[in-house]
Parts: sequence; C-alpha cells; structure tokens
Amino acid sequence: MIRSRSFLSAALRFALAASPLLCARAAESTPAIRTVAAAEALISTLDAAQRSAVVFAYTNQVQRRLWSNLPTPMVRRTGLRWGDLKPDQLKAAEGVLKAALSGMGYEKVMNIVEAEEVLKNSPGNPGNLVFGKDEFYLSFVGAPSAEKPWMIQFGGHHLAINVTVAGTNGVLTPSLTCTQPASFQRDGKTVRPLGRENDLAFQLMGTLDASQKSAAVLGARFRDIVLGPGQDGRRIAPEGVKVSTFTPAQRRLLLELVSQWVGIIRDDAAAAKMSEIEGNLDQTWFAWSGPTEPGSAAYFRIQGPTVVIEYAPQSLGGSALNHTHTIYRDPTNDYGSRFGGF
Amino acid sequence: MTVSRRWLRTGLAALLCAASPALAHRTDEYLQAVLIGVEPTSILVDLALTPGSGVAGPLLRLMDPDGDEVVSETEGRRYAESIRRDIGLRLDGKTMDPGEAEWFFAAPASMKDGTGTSRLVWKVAVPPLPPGEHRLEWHNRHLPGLSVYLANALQPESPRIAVLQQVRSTNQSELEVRFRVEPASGSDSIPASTPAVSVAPVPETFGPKPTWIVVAASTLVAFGLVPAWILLARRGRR
Repeated sequence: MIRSRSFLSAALRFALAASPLLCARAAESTPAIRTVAAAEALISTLDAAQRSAVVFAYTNQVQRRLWSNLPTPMVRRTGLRWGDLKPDQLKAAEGVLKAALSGMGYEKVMNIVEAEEVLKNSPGNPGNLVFGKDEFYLSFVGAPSAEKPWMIQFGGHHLAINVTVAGTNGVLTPSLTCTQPASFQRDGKTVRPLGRENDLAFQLMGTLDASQKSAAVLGARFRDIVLGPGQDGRRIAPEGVKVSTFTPAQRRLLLELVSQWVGIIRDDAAAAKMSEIEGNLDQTWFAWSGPTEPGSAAYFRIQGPTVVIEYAPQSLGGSALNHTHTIYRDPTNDYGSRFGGF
Repeated sequence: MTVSRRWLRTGLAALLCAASPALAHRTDEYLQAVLIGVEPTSILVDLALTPGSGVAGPLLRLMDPDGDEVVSETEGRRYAESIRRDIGLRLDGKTMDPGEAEWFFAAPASMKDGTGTSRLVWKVAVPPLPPGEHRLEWHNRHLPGLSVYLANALQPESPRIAVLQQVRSTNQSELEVRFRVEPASGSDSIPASTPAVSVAPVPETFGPKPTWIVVAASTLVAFGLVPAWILLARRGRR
C-alpha cells in the first residue's frame, strides 16, 4: 500500500513537473511563439538604454508610420541601429527576422541590405555616408507577446518590413521592398534582390492575349508607386485587366508573382494570406505601364479587395532597370488593423 | 508671366540639367501626386507636392519668398492661388471652379532635405449627379519643366459610384475619370450584385492557449491518471 502510494505520488509529481516543459516545447514549435521567443532573446542581450530604445507603445502611431524609401539621414529611424549592435546582439536581431520571416523572405531582405552596401561603395556615392547595412533599424511597436498584438519593424533606405504579430496571426502589410542596384555579384554569382518579381511579371505579360494585354496596359508612364509611404488608408480605383478573364495557368502565374511579396512573412502566415487572395481572384486586377518585352523597365500593379502590390522602376540614378521601388499593402489590414488595439 | 518668374523657371531648368545622376532618390524633380475622389455630391482633389532636395531652394522662393523658413498664411495662400491658376477641373465638359484650397505646407527645412510633402486639398460641392455615365477631367500645368506627375482616382466611398476607366496623358499631367452613378435607392447600402469578398477570419482568442490545454491534458493523462488507474486496478485484483 505504502509502495503504491509513493509510486502514485511520484508519478503525479513527475507529471506536474514535466507538463510545463512539454508545454513549452510544444509552444516553441508554433511560429508565432518562436517569434516572441526570438524577440525576448534579443531584448535579454541589450543594455538598459537599448531596451528602452527598442520597444515602443503599441498605440504609438508616429513610430508605426515611421518608414520610408529615403535614406536614414533624410528620414530618421529609431530603434536599434544595425551598425551599433555587438556580435551577439546582431545574431539575436537576425534571429528575430529569421523567426518572423520565411527563408525566402529573410534572404530577400538581406539581399536588399547587401545592395545598400554595394550602393554605399559605388563610385557615384558622394561621401559614402548615407547608405550601407549599418543604417538599418529594428524596433518593436508593442512588447513582444503571445497574446496581445505587437509589431516588428525593420528598415532603412529602400526597405520597410512591418510585421504585426497577433496571437497566431502574422501580417506583413504595409511593407516596402526596393533595390539599387538591381543586381550585384557575390561569390561569383549574380544576386538580384527583386529579380524574381520582375521575371514573373514579364512572364505573365507574355501569356496575355491581345485583348487582355490591351486592357492591362495603361497609357501613361508611372514614375513611382502611388501608395507609398504616407499613403496609409488610401484606396485607389482598380485598373487594368480583370483576373476573372485569366486562364488557370495565368492565375497560377499571378499567384506565384503575388507570393514574392506575401511569402516574405513566415510560411504559415503567408499561406493564410495567399488563400485569402486566391479567394478574391475574380475581383482582382492586373495593370501594366511600359514596354512588355522582357528586359525592359515597366511598372505593374496587382490590386484586389485585400491586396495592393506596385512595382515601379525608377529612372533616377541612371538606368531604370537598376533601381526599383515596390510596395505591398492590404487596404483592409495594414498594420494588422483587423486585430485592433491602436 | 513676370520676368522674375521666367528667370526662376530658367534657373530651375538649368538646375535640372546639372543634377547628379548617381543619387538613389528623387533630388532634381518636383513630385506632384494627385488623388481625385468622386462622390454623389462632391469632388475631392488631394494634391501632394514633394520637391526633391535639388529643386527645393528655388521652389521655396515661390512658397516662402521672404525666406524666414516659415510658409506664412499669406505666402501659403499666394502659392495655392498660383497652383489653382495652373490646374483645371471639368465635369461633363463644364469647367468647375475648385474654389480656395485647404493647404498644409511642410517645414521649409524638410523640403530642403527632400522629405517635406505639402498638400493642397479642394473639396468641390456639385449638384446631385444624375444616374448614368459621367466624365471628370483634370489637368495640372504647374512647373511642367521639372515636375513628375501622378494622377489617380480614389475608390469611391459611395457604392452608387463606380469608376469605369481612367485615361491619362503620358506624363500624367492630365487625367480623365469616366464613372457611372447608380440611381439612389433610399439608402447607400451595397448592391446585392456586389460579389462577396473573402477576408481571413480573425480568431476569437490569441496565443497558444488551445495548445497549452491540449498538451497539459495529455501530460496529465500520460503521467498521472494512467499510472493511477493501473494502481487502482492492481488494488482491485488484490
């Protein structure tokens, strides 16, 4: 009897001791929880001044909207400056991005950062002071939490990644991905941070029949994106060709193109968003401005009820083929507005 | 055009030619982006003006002629009036007077570094538009030598208005918005024919609570209740 009681007692003690560990292990496997854990791990490496600099109140609208395509000396960012981080802090900060983004997304973001380093070292850059990978900033709008919504902001010149984490949900809008140069060499290989976007768009254009193409092409030159920084809450009228006229193959190609932006965020959140966009394909539009031959510089826009994507080559600083601005928005859920709290 | 204005424009054109080709942002151009909203009884014209740092100095001589680093009420009104003379708005072929704009001028310092965006907004009341197709034309001829234009129609807030087509000049200094007005039906409710929009549902609960409950329950079963049941079964056999 005594033996049985002690065995029972030991079993229950083991169960109570083991359940939090098992729960924690299960929780770690959730992408959203991994993101929270990565953010907390970064915070644990920071000194007091850095801690107070990195976290902003979730209701802070100024910080939420503090992103731009312009270089940091022109638009001051706040948070942790990449160039100020110690090696262990930098590794932890990269860990936050790796947890919040997909493998493809992390690679794309880091390629854009690397392009800035190439731009910094280019002969035309006066003073070598404005650009470069040190000039990127990471901040949290709201404290990292598994329950309450919070945001990760990472950006600088030509980049603004705004990830809202709300429980198990992840939202990437609005985010800005740009690049100059459009291609550079690394270890003997050509890197094109936004090359896939460009190639898929021309591939899609190549599949349109004459009637679709005629509807898609707008008779004007778009020198920049319309819904860039400072245009929160704006909804422009859709134009171009309706995706409802697309064949199944064209739809697949369009979705693959869309996924170049949507898929920057971690895979589970991207899959949910792609499913939403696919559900609205018949109310989605594809517009084009510029030459349709591959190798040209052309603007395009994809617009549906819950997505707006713009891709605009820039004729500043030389060839428009070498400098691109893009924006990804969701007019119904920028900054995770569906989840409230700000 | 006065002599001083002609001089200014010549100077701006020279500046444009001499601008550095290597910079990665818009320094030598004046971005004028207009958004035009059409509603059943009003037209909204929202013009955002962003001078690049390379052209801000000469432009500030138009906006802030006394150079005191503040665009005063009088200066703002004067510049807004000069723009009003350069723009045009026509509804169904009839020229409309946009009236006085509401304006916001960015700090001259921010315009000098290329980040300041000023805004002029015209809200034009129009008589209730009859059902059917209509045409709104816009043009902007303000400083064409150094300007980059963007012109877009906003998605109407009223479900009674549908933008059918936007026709632009190549440089977007002109925009024609063709739109349709549906008959008023007592309320502005969304027509039944509007297709459903798929939006991912927002879960009622955040966080990992369901996972915790499932794992905790499983753990208790595995490490607590099962051994207890075995012991009880053994006792029963005795």
